[in-house]
Amino acid sequence: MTRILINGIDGRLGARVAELLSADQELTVIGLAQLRPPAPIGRAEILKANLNGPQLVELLRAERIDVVVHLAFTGAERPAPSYEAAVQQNVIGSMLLLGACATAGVKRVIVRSHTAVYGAHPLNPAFLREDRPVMRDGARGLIRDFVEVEQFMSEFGPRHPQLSLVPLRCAPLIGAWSPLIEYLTRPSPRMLIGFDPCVQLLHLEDAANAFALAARLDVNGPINLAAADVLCISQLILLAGQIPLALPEPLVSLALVLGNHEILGAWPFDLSFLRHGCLVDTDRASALLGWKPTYTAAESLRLLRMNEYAEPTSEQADEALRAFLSR
Amino acid sequence: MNEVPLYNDRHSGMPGFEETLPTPPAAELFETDLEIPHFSGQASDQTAAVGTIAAGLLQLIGENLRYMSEAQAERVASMLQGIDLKDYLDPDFWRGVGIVLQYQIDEQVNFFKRRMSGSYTLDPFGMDRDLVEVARPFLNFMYRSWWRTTSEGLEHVPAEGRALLVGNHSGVLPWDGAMITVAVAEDHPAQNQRLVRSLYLHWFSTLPFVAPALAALGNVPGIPENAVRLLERDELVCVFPEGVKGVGKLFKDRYQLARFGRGGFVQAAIRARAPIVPVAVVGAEEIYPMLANAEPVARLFGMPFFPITPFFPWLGPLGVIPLPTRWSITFCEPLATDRYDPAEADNPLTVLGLSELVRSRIQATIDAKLAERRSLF
Repeated sequence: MTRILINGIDGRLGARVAELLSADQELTVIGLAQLRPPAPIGRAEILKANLNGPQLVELLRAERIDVVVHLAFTGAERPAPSYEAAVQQNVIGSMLLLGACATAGVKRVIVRSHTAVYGAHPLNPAFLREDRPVMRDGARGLIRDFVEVEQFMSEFGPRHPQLSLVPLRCAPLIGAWSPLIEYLTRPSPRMLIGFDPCVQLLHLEDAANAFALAARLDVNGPINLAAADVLCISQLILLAGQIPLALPEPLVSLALVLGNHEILGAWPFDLSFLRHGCLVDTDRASALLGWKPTYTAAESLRLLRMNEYAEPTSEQADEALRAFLSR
Repeated sequence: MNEVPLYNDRHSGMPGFEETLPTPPAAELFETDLEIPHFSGQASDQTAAVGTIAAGLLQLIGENLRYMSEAQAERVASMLQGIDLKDYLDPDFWRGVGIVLQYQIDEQVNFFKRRMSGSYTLDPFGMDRDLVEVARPFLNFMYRSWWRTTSEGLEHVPAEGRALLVGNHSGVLPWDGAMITVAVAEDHPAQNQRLVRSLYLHWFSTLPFVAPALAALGNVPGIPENAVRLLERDELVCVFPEGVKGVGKLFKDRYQLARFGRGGFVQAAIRARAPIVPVAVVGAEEIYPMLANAEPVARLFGMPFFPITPFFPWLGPLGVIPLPTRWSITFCEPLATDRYDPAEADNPLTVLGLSELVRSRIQATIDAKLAERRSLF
């Protein structure tokens, strides 16, 4: 009987992971959230609170939690209210949670991360393996938070060998609001003239599957997740039904130096990601988790265009309510 | 995408997709382009000129017809019903050509529409089959007509499975890699249009336009992990271990192989257990006779070298046109690497020894070919 806590069940990903894990009667699933979950969460019980460190330890101990799935990253599934608030929750919140897990004797923490933590660089091999060190600097926004958490974990992990840390480095998610979707839905997504690097995507459903697998299997160490196909950025934009706007790099660099980040529209990554690729190898995911992506990137984008990601209807909310009451 | 079914057959998948192509009507059209130059030789001058143009047109059309799906070929054949393509003096011949050209324009429009909707696929290294096909006629022209290349020993290149082609690098711009690719795609006895993946200096991936073009045409940045991964996918990989020292060679040093890097290519071959095929390219060293290397200019622009040739930079863009020397490409007998334990890849003695062996074999082949060569052009 494994007891699992999902931190951040109020995102689409967290809700879907909870639903997948609920199917296994051997598991007890508890969700920690600050908002109402946007989708059905299966049998999971939910605690709506913003806990501090000692309170987290108390919860983990009292509920005898074995595995924590940490998905609560502000800015990943809904726009971040402010930069400071995002850092507070993403970096400080993750440090507190990891500390609490170590103190409370949790066996494994699955942490959401991003493939962009490796950084885009002309010397990157075509596919990066997990042993590639995460980038030291140059990231901004949400990616910077992921990089910081990864760096914290790489120091924290060896000092707590009884706690398995599993960062799941996901390619940009397609399936709910995400910074990349924001970029793709605003008019004229930006590119750099003369550069068209390849990108990978990941369908939310495939990501949720991987988190559910990692929560149940005895794994340790980072794992990359991405769909099987690659797209170049121009193709990504065209498939999303937009026309790219290519800007000359000197102009963009100048604007960025002057502090105008609007020039790149809603591009969620660093400028270097418009120049070079950062693709990952997913062999470890298939070897350790038996995970295989079921959606290709092109297919996820086709679904996106068919607007399959409309906000959940009240029927779905009603269904979720019934499911919760009859648990 | 359903809206453009015309392309489904042409671009689905990787090597082997050509197998379904030669359909009877397309093949018939092919025959004619062999016949016309033949009898235009015997006709009067004026007719011969028309015959040559007709032959050229047919050749162009034939190139495109090779990639038609069965349904497309049938459509064109039905349009051409009753038109005798054997006689180019007949107005019907020109009508037939018109119909086929019309079909070609339609095809281009469809192609453009499809590109603009983003519905095409890339291979994991960013190769775009569509663009490879677009570049193919031009590269074939450079191979056959511009440099009149003769290739020998293509039977040493495996028809399937992995192999590492190792060539001598020269000629300022990496035309040699492109021509090795054409030789294997067009002249290999197996005729299965295998695409050679050349590894290029990673510096090129920092250049606008160059980087995406190289990637789309199937080239891959020269990083050891990429070489091993490509070989493990059973691809043909081409490397130039001389690197920049090779392409940036001065004219006076032509056909003297530079240092072969640090043997990284041997490590990749041993790790992936891929045979090494030494390749000697003769002719490429003279396409841009590089008299000097303007190092300060190179430093200013962050380039590995800045060539001064009799035509560049004096003639501007015209100076980029390579001299039409006569080329020969020799593929030598493969060196097996499967007798080495993969751990040997970390033994510098083995690696550098094998690297030197490959280098000396290429040098010996070049020397032999140079002795045979009677004229530069």
